[in-house]
Amino acid sequence: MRVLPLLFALVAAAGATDAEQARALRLAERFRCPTCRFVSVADSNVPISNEIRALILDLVMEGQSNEEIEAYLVSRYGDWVVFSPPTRGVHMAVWVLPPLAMLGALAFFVLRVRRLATAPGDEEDGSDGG
Amino acid sequence: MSARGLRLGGALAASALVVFALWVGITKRSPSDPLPSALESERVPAAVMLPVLDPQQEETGDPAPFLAPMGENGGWPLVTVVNFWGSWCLACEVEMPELVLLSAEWEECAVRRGKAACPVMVGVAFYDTPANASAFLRRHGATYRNFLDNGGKAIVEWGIYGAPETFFVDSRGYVRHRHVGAISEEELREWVAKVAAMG
Repeated sequence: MRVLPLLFALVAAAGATDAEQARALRLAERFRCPTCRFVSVADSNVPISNEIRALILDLVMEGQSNEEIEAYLVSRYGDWVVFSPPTRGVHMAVWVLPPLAMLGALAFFVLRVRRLATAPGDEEDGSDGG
Repeated sequence: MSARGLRLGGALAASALVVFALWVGITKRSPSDPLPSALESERVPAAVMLPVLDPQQEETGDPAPFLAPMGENGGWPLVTVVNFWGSWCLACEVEMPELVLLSAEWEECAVRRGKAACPVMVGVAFYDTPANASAFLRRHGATYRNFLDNGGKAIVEWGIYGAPETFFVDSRGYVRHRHVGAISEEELREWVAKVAAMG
């Protein structure tokens, strides 16, 4: 019975333009396969992924936006179904902390270099222990 | 100054590491742990039309709405237990006798005390052939209502990611609990009692 969802996907794909199919495929890459979890819906061939791919294409053909389609799948499977963490609440940490850490490191580096540049003769100042 | 900077940096790095370790420790889950259902404490998904399985037939019968209230006068019964399964699923084979046992008990309860006072069992086979699904029901002597969903949208609507999964719907039509994997008679009774108490 693996064939059935696949058949549905093919039937749905029949009326879709190339652009719609390409958009549906790009979208499918953003969601996890519910069964295999670490593979995207686009990359897996289990029945549930086939059905979700067909559903995404249906919704694309209905004219739904990427955000609407994502909101629908999240409402059914939870935040977990999207590969990128949501940009709200505690999840913001994974988006904000890395750039902040980079900026901090850059500032630290720039300050050190500038201090070394303004005191070129004094090598003692350059060594950390002083 | 630079020594202080280093100390500050070290302290920051150390505290960041501690926070990270705590975070991982608190949120770490095994990849095989069941995932939480996005439906919990939500209203049941909008009903879709699905063919009904007949244990005595190789073909499915006329479609009916899934999930519609199955209690008295079109209302929700005390608890609706919704079991998703497939004849291809080994764990479903394991739990089926318990489901059949309890469904018979609840049907008897409905006769004695009225539909509103008793739980109801309903099943959905998915990605299955009508013949295989019917044979599965026949083999286990299941008489409660079972649907068949092959791309009929119920699977995605309910956020199913494997079989078996068992949902408990309260008497107002809200999903209260989802159990992943084979369920036992004790767990069924426990959750029916809990959900019945929720109203």
